[in-house]
Amino acid sequence: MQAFKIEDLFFSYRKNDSILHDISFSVSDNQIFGLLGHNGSGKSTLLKLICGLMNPGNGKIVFYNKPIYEYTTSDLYNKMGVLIEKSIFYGHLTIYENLKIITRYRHIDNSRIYEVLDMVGLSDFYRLKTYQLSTGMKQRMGIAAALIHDPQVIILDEPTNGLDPEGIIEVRNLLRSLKSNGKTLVVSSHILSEMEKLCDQLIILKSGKSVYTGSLSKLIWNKNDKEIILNARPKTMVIDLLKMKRISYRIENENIIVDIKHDRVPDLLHELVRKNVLIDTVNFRVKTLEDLYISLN
Amino acid sequence: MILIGAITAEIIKIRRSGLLWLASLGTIIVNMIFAMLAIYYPNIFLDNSQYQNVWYTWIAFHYQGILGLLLPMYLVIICALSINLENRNDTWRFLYVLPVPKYIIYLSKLFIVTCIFILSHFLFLVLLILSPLIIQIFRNELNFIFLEIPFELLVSFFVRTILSSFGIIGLVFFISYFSRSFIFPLAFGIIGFVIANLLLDQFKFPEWFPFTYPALNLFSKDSLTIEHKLWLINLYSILYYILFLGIGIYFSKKDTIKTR
Repeated sequence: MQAFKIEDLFFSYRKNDSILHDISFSVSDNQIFGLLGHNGSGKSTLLKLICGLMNPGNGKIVFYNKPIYEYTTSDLYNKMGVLIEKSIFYGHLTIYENLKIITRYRHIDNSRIYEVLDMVGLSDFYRLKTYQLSTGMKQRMGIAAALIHDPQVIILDEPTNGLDPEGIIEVRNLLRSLKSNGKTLVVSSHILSEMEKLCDQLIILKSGKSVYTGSLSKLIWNKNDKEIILNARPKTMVIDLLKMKRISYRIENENIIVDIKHDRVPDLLHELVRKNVLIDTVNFRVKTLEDLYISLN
Repeated sequence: MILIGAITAEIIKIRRSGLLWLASLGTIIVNMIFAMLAIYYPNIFLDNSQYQNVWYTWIAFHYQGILGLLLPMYLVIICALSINLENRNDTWRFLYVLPVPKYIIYLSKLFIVTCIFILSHFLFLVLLILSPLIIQIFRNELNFIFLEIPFELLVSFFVRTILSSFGIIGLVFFISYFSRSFIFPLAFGIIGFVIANLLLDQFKFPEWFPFTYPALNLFSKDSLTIEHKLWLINLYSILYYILFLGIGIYFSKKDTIKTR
């Protein structure tokens, strides 16, 4: 079953200043779906749209087979738990009091507060006022607030933002355990490695446009997964051959970095040898996610 | 049920907030000023009470002191502070992802502001009655404890003050809620006070502007023309409250986080 289906989404705050263009993707139930992009790429805006906080200029957002605008506020936010941009709370109140406010609005029992605080590792700090909390603790509290009503879909904007490495691992494990309990998660981040470890599927945004939708493993598989670092003489002959074969390359520290699918490597080397090119060294380098991200357009 | 949940949430929010402190301390300070005045300058009350019970002068002084400027500005500040609690903490996004219709948030906040005002005015009334017990220790000549308290006059002032303030609350709360600013409603309050004074000075159409309503309660019934009878003024005040409540609910339903 599909939790979300987004079709041809377009959004702008002002005319001729679009933030998102033609975004389409779907999120299956019981999946961790990632929104990846650098700061200002439109991740938070997209999250605000899919959780019904703003209306799109154009396009369709379907949530469990029903357009999102057909949901009542009550139905929508009982199914959804949301943490947008940063954890926002009343600074003069304690963690417990802040969560108690949510239980009042949601008509749920106060005992749930202790359960979620335990889940996010804040059970020893419930008496602290929120202005006293570190960024990481606020982030955990935001996650607790999103989980308090045990929603089916959890939308988290940069959930690991401000967390220390230990905290990142804990949150990652928490999100995975939520998934294993049948929850659907939509998570945004600008940290590639984090998304790689967490997400089943993702959309990559660049300047408000979708440049990739699918699984990260598929992205790595589809793209040239290796680069050859070639040190050979004469370089001009190598470059001429690469140009002739329309293989992309770049020069880095006297080396020729060749972007090529691994099954074409033997042919290339064979041809270089045939043309009497003296090959000093050939090294393979697995492309990093960063390389892939940069190469996406 | 949703409204009750929202109201209890609002009560948790205002606990230990500046709003509650201001509402209670502000009231206590005003009462203390009047008490100090009676202790240091008892003649003000004695000279005006030669032919009547000193309690009448005491009550009249209190209401003359607050209805013109203090009360309207107090209402402006509590309305602005109640909304500023969300603006300062940037918690609108937190509220808008709750399973609560947006108009319920408007309603619950307005309800709380109205209750705070009624309760603080009740505190004002209680202190108005109790402070003479302390004053009597220092100024025996004022004879407060030997004279009968005119409860009828007190209740009349209490009810009329509350009813005549509803118009200001409805209007200023609406402006505070949608202006997203603390300064704007304050500026509006100051302008409102100036306009109210001009209207009262000329006595032209004061019944159309809610900021004049509390002050109109100070006019003796005989000095008001038929259009400005107190019951009518207080009815206008309630109608203003209902009008801005309706407009507020309409706009809050259309409100999105984009405008916040």
